[in-house]
Amino acid sequence: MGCYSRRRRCRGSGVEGLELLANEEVDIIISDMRMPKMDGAEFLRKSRAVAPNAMRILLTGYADMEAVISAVNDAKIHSHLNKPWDDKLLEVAINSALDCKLKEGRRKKIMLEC
Amino acid sequence: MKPVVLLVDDEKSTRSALRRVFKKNNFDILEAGSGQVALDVLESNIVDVVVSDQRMPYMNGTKLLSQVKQTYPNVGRIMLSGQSDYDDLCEAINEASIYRFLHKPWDEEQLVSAVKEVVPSGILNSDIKTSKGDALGDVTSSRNNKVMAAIIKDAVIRHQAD
Repeated sequence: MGCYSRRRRCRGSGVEGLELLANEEVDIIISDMRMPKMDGAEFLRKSRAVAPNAMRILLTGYADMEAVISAVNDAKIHSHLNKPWDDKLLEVAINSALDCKLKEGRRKKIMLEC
Repeated sequence: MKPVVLLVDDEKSTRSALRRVFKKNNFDILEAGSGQVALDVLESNIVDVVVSDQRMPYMNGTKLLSQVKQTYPNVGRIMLSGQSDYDDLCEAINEASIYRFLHKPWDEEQLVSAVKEVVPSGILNSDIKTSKGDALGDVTSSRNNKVMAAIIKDAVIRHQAD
């Protein structure tokens, strides 16, 4: 993730992640699924309220279909990757998320101008 | 204007059941029994949301919805699946950027509310086929423009025919 390291923020839990999002603008959120107290699906779902324009990527270390479905339906994730991840696939997911965010931003701007 | 949903499933009985659900909920409905037919339908109709089965012969739901994402990026994409496994799900998220993944047999309320939630952006964003890679084109076209274009095209064809 060298080229993305300029503004990288790391937090160790969903609660800390939400606190960060309340204070800083973030373009992409990458979250693990299995975490104590608040899992990744819940964190990403809650992140929609504080960072509605951020793109969400979920990482999972085990195949829990229902958890991933919940992340799609409730947290609106952009991508999902298995751990250990392939660096190239992660880069593709990040680029795709950034591209999507850029297009969405332009669309909203134009809609406002119309 | 009613939202338009395209129902894609290789089983006719499933399409009929889905048609009843969406008719009751005031949608305009288009149907396709395969991925290829669905793409043909999209080529010549305005569609707000595609609800597709995953397991279909020749072209599965992920391949269809990936194609929809590429060609009609503003059309909502929902997977309605009876038998998908974990890999199917991951592929549908990463390749087709699905908005929702729902199980068969479906819960009617959940299905309709999922489609309704996806629809507004479809209508607002104009689910228009634009030239690939033309990001500005994606956002400047409008659903109404397409309707208008269709009316003009029909008028021109009629005029030429006369």
